[in-house]
Amino acid sequence: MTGTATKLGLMASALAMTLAAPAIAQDKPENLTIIAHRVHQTVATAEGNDITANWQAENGVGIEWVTLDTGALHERLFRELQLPETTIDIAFFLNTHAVESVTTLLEPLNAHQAANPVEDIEDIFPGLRDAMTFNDELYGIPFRHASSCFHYNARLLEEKGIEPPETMEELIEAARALTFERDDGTKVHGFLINGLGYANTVDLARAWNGDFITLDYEVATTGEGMMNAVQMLRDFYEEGVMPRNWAAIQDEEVNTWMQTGRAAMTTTSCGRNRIYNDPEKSEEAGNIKTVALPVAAAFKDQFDVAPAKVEFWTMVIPANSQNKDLAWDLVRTMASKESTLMAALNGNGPVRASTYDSPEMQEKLAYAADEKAVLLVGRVPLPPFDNAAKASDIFVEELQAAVLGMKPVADAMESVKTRVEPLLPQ
Amino acid sequence: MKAMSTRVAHAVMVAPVQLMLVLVIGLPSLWVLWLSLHTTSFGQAPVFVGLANYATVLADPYFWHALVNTFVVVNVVVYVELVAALAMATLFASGVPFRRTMISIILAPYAVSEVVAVVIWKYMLEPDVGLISGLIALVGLPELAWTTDRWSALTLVSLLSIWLHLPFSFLILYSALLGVPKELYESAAIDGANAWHRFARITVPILMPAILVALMFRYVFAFRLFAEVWLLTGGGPARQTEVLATYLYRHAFRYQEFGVASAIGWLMVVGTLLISAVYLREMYKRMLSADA
Repeated sequence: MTGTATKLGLMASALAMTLAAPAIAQDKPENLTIIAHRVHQTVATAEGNDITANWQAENGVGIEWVTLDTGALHERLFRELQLPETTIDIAFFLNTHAVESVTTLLEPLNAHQAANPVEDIEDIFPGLRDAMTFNDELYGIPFRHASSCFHYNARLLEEKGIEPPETMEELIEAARALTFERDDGTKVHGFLINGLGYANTVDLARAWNGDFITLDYEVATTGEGMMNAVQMLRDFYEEGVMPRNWAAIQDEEVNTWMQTGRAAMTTTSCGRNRIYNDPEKSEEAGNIKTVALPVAAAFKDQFDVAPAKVEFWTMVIPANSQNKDLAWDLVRTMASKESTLMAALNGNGPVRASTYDSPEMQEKLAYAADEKAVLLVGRVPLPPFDNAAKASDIFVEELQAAVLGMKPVADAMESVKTRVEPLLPQ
Repeated sequence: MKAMSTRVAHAVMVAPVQLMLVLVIGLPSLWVLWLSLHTTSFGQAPVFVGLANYATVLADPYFWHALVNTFVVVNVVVYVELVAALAMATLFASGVPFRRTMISIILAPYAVSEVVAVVIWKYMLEPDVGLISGLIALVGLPELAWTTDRWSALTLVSLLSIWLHLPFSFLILYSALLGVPKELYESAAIDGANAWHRFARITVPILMPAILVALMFRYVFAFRLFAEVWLLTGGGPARQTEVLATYLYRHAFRYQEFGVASAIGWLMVVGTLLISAVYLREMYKRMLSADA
């Protein structure tokens, strides 16, 4: 009897498993879809260093990457988030879009973290985690940061007998001394930043601990820091330290100027060091050094380096995604210590403090220690709010007017304050 | 009965195109019109606001600034392009050496993507190392300060747009010109008409329908001018060179104000329709008089 019951039980179990099998198979999709910028795919899946390879093999699930430029990516993502359901399982999300109103469209992650936690989440820089936390609920796991550093052409500095600047005042003097005409008649400009963005000007203001909008939503453009930064750019433009077409120069063009030795110094993402020193792309390969942006002499006792801007990307799961648990499992795999290091060695800006301490990282990236120093004091260029894009456009408009001499610097920065304040969260 | 069945057959044959137009143009236009009466963004349910979005746009000085820039650029582009295309078409019709090669050269810009064209021109007009900037300096002309001066920038935008789209106007006018009977010119010559008279009294009147088509299409296309401005100046310096399409883009895709952006879109449609109506009316008048 017992034997018969056991046989019956086994048969029932086998039947149940047979019936359940298709359902389990249906639970696991063939692929998970990730929408990201091309750079995320590159740093995550570099040949021989693919941080997703083991996860795909273990789970029998592939990954389909949909890559778009930053603007197009968010535009597509927001459209997907509006639908009853989406085929996007994981999205890479830039910090400037992280506003509270968006959280209704994203999967809350506290429950996932409690059930199946990301390894040593405290190791991820707290400022990055905090920016994706609303009402104590976590909505994104940081994956990549882009922190600003100071890049200079060591060959040109040596040629002119100038020591690398250690304060902002020295940087200003160096920029003037590095503005000259080459023997072939080409002009070298001592300093250059993107003329169509606001973030690198915020970097400069941070050398005096200034800001555009503070984290508690105060417009700080009339403060000493921003006024000094904009006045410095105005002087540079007037003196020819920055080129005449500055207002039309974009990030990619700044790269070209640095790679061809037509600009001697700039401040932009630390990671640009790789393309500045890539022998296939740069005429100045090996000459561009990357360090933390110097702080003004008066702030040396407060900061070792300027608290430059730190922007970052997080991985989010759409609330209307169909494979949330599986997506979370991939997110936590990609955010592990090992994956963070592997991605960093592929060129990613790592979001874990421990990654910077690894010998491999220090050996591969000469500026790793400086980048870590920036991360420890840096902050986002703008706090997130619904009208951030509008506010940044106003800033760029007034900045261009001030630097090109259409308006006095003080008037332009006062105008930013007046126009931006009504846009801030009340 | 036969006429009736013929009409039905015609209707059936054009129905797919009509249906496609309704699906691709009609319905989206109505959707945009509906959006323009609401305030909405990502993650927000649309809220009906009546004509408030139109009022917001019309009260914004940047809209009027963009409208003035668009008006100036569109008119410069359309008429300069038309005159240049007409002159070139006349020249080609009267015979030029290596005609096929020359036509290929003239058509070449039309095969270049707008983005590539802007990047190339931007580099050629780079103040320090640009080829054209160097040539301008060499002949002693003043520098084209397109990165700092509104009108210089808009001049460059116009030149770029003309360079890109001249082949379109040229093709329309040249093909129309080839259809003009040579006997007309021969008769006029026998009657003592000089070259100018032949051009003014024969060429232009016969070409007028083609000119109107070219004008109307170019007005509509030029009104949507976007890449040349966005990629060259980004609307700067200090939003001085913004045109309506970049103004719309800013509101739709940077500020995600879909209601306002839809209102701008509809204002642009109305503007384009008003301009087109003048030319359409003229075309119909000519068609009717030709039929009579």
